[in-house]
Amino acid sequence: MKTKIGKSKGSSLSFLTLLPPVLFVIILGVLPLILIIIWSFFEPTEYWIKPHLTIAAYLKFITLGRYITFVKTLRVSITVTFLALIIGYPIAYFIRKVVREKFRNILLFIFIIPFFLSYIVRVFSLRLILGRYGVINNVLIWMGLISVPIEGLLFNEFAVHIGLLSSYLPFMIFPIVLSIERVGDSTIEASQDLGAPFFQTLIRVIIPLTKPGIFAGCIFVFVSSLGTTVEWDLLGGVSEFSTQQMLESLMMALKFPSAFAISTLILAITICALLLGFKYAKMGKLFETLE
Amino acid sequence: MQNNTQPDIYLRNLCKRFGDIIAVQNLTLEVHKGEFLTLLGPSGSGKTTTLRMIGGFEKPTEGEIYIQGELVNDKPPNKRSTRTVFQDLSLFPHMTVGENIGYGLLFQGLNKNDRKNKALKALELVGLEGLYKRKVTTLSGGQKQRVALARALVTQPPILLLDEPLGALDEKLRERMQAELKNLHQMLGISFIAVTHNQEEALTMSDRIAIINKGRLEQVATPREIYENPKTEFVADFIGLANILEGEIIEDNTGVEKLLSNGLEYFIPTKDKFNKGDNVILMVRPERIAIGDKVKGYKNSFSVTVRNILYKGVCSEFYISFDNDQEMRIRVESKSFWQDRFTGGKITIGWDERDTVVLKRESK
Repeated sequence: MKTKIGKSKGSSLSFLTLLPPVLFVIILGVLPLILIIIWSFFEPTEYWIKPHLTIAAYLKFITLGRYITFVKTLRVSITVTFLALIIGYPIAYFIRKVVREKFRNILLFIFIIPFFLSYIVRVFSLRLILGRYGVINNVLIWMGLISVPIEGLLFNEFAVHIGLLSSYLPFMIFPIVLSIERVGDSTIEASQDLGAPFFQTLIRVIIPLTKPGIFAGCIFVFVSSLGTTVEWDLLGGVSEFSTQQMLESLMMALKFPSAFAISTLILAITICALLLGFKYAKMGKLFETLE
Repeated sequence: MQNNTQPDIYLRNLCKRFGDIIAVQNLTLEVHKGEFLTLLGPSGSGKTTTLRMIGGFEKPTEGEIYIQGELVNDKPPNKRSTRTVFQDLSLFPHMTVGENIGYGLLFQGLNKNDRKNKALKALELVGLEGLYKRKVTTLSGGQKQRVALARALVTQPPILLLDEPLGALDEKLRERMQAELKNLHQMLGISFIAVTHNQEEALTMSDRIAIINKGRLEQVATPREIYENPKTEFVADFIGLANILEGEIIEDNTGVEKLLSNGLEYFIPTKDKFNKGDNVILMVRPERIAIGDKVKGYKNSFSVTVRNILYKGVCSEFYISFDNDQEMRIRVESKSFWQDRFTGGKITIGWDERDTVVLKRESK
């Protein structure tokens, strides 16, 4: 009897208490996305848009060659995601399974510190490393390996890759650390015990069990790489141009439907990636409590 | 069992230190071929560390480990012929029952068909026919236990290591699995080395028990020996219930050895050789002490006061005190007509002197 009253009261009450956050999410989160999608099919006027359905913005995306920049940004983001995985996974494994607990937190902290800085400063600091008079060139000259500074380190696609990697590698490491934490030491030991050398244990037990973390990390790095401009601005130089920069210039030129069309494509790709992640990598497991 | 053949496992002066903590200290132990040996001790005694060193998961700080005559100190677990059933079972949650069991066979180079056939046989061995395709996450505790056993046994290891194998099971199931493990052991004829802190489990299943305390080996013997003839005060106290008194050896005029403790004299078995004046402890188990009429004929017989009676169904525990305030616990079969009227009253208790164990004081 008591529980029954409590329950019915609770549900109507919880509906009321849930209403503000639900409205908040809908108005500020979902609604803008829907408007962007709809407006991408509208016609531009001189300063604004008029509600007249057309796919002109999408056609221009092809005919004006905007897709080339789009594809290039996608390619760079995918490459960076892949590199981050290759580099981040061993780091995450090392942090979670090899290093002692006291040291582990220090290492994790090192990967957090850059986020305390302004991202512009953080990215700019890479110029001091890669530049003509940067650390790398100076060290190489000092060692006598080269006599003239190497020019190709900065203001090209290579520098953009390095910049994106250094910015978003932690986004790969943290979810993987979380997922490796869920693999018990004795599960790894059981594999060894049954005769598996480490590499076999890695590909048959550890990686399959850390798929949620791998996928979450990939999504974070991929989406962040896709949505940034600062690495391209500061490290890519004049020759490199990303989708986001293209978007910004389209917005400044008041070509809203074109900008929204590109945004819709990015949105579609991101949502597809997320759906795949939840379906095949069981990404939701990352948020379940440990047994 | 057969002492002349090479032992399956020989631990020689094994030591393990974690920083300042000494987990295992100078442990020497042989496990005979086909034996069921249990490492028994309180938590933190180093028994699991010892098992992990045999399995290859910890490196000994000092000493040597021989498995079937071969020094294996530097061999990783995957190169050792031992198989382990882990305390938390550690089944692979992303695999089916069949994949779990077939896992070890992958590294023996078996093809898919052979792996499946062997896994099916192993499932049959542990009584889980028909579960080959199930996800391990859908199994009950007892089923998981059996899958872990099958997974370890399918590769036909000469030695099986079991770390608290039945710790996660409820009482009833644990008792059944004890019998099953023992059966399995007899059927397979391979060596089982188990770790447990449950003495009843150790007494039931083992051929021999090694009692470990604070990283040291206290005694290795058959369950009967351990229970009836503990060699150290720790073993006497740790296994079963024990009444322990301290005293000094005296001799009466007939030459029979007796023990004087706090003003009272107790007869002790003469097979133990002690000198007059030795400081010793005397141990007698609560269930070996009789009360009332049954005391007749026992040389050790006393009139004592009943302080308290705990009714435990099958038996009742009497907390009594001697005239010198020495307290003891007695365990007797309950009688339906007993009342608590004994409490505070006087009864006669006694025991056969052959049921006492006398040990030299360890502090001496």
